[in-house]
Amino acid sequence: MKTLLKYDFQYFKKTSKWIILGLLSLFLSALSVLSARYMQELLRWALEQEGIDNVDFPPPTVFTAYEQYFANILQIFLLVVVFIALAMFTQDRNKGYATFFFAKPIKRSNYLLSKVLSMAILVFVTLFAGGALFGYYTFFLFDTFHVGRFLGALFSVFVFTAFIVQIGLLSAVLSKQFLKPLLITIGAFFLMSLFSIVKGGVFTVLPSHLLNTPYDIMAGDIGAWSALTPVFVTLALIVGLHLLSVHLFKHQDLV
Amino acid sequence: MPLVKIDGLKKRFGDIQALKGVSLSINRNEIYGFIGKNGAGKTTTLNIFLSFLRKDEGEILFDGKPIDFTNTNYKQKIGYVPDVPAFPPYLTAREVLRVAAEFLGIENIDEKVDEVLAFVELQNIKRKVGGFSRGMKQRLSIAQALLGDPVLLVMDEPTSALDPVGRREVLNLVRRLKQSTTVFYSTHILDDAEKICDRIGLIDQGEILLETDMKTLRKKRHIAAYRLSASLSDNELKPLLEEIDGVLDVSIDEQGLLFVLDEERTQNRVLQTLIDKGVLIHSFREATPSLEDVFVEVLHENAA
Repeated sequence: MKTLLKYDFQYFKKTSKWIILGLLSLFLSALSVLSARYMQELLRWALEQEGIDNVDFPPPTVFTAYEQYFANILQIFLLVVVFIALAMFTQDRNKGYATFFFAKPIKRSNYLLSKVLSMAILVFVTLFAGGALFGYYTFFLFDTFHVGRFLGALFSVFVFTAFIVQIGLLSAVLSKQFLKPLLITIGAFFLMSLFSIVKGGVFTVLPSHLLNTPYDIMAGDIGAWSALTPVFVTLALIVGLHLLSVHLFKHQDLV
Repeated sequence: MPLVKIDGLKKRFGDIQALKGVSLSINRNEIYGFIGKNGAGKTTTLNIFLSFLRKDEGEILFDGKPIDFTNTNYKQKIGYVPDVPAFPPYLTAREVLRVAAEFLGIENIDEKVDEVLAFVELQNIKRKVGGFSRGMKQRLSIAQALLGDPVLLVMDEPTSALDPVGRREVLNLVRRLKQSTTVFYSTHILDDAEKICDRIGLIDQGEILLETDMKTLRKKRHIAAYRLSASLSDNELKPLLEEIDGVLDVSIDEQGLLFVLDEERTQNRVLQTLIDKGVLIHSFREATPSLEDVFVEVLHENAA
């Protein structure tokens, strides 16, 4: 297992995936704060150039920065994570490296677990590194930052991302190619986005609700249990999907 | 006890019965040539042996123990060289071997990696695998297969994608392994098998047609084929031979005139007829059947 993790991290390093994801996370963090703080001034200036100078914008608040940040992370960052994860999950079988690995005494369950764990660690580290930068800039530009709430919100984003990655892994097990699992995973994400609009009943505990949770947590509109329930449900689903992936992969023809 | 024993192996892909009950055995410290045309079932058999594919029926014993699809422990003792080896292109040869060595749980990794790199003469190559030629990849593939000092080396058409130089290099490497390990060598290049194998199994359409050692094979499969040179040219001799009763087939190849007789006794009649026609015989000798001759003969017999 340790060897497999080492190989997977070597893949991130040699293919610069960790730099790509890390820089993206840092860039989105800085961009979110700056755009929240200065976007209205930019718009006002742009409108003045057109001779429109009577538009009043409400003053930017720290919550604008929070909204901007989570919107960027849950769209751009998540999409890039999906691309990186699926490239990693499918490349061994797609490019013929699988026979190199599986001619060795490697357990298929460990192989899959290593892929998911290494991806989860990469996402966690880059996400929270970006989060730290976001926190610093936010405090610097808005004089306030809700550390506890932000960490909770960021963790819910991480759990949702891990769930989407797990869907990617399952679809990659079902199809050896890159495109089909990619479309399935992105399709699942859009489905989640649609479900997130529904804010009552069973939908409040489903993974889709984690798309709302960060905003609710930052606004202080949600109790601890309401925030934690979809997190626990999603974690349980991640475990279930992973076990299903392992079961299918263990009994699958590789070539 | 054979090192590998495959008994009644069957595999179906949709409507195609790829293996129809393959049975073979491989003894320790021999090079076993697994010979057959493309699509005969060689790679399918190897893929099942390595648990890349599930079997439908049959049993495989390795070192006396049955192979279970989900148990990977037996692979500790096996090295595998595929027909077209693929490695992560962003790694160097040394990095590929380090990864393979770690998967095999080798302790003295640096020492072992240096040893196999020297064996395949890649020790001075620093560039990434993505820039390797096919021959270099094949040598690297052999190196990674040898890392764990395998009891069995499984090679699936290792020379099929190589140019003549690369092919000769690989065959030389296999020859050097002959003393130290058992080799399960799949190929459709009969010339390769003839050069290096101790025993062969001939597979066609998912069935083993023949399994024997090379010496017995040549003795058993004695073909009454002869070569002749005389005062006339090969082209002049050919029609003369074709007229003689008992001469089955006359052809001219790069070694000269070759003809097959119905039985050994016919050779006297051939010589007498030619002498009667005033032909001066320079040489008359038995032609040793090549593996290719045997292969074609067995296939014809089976078809008949």
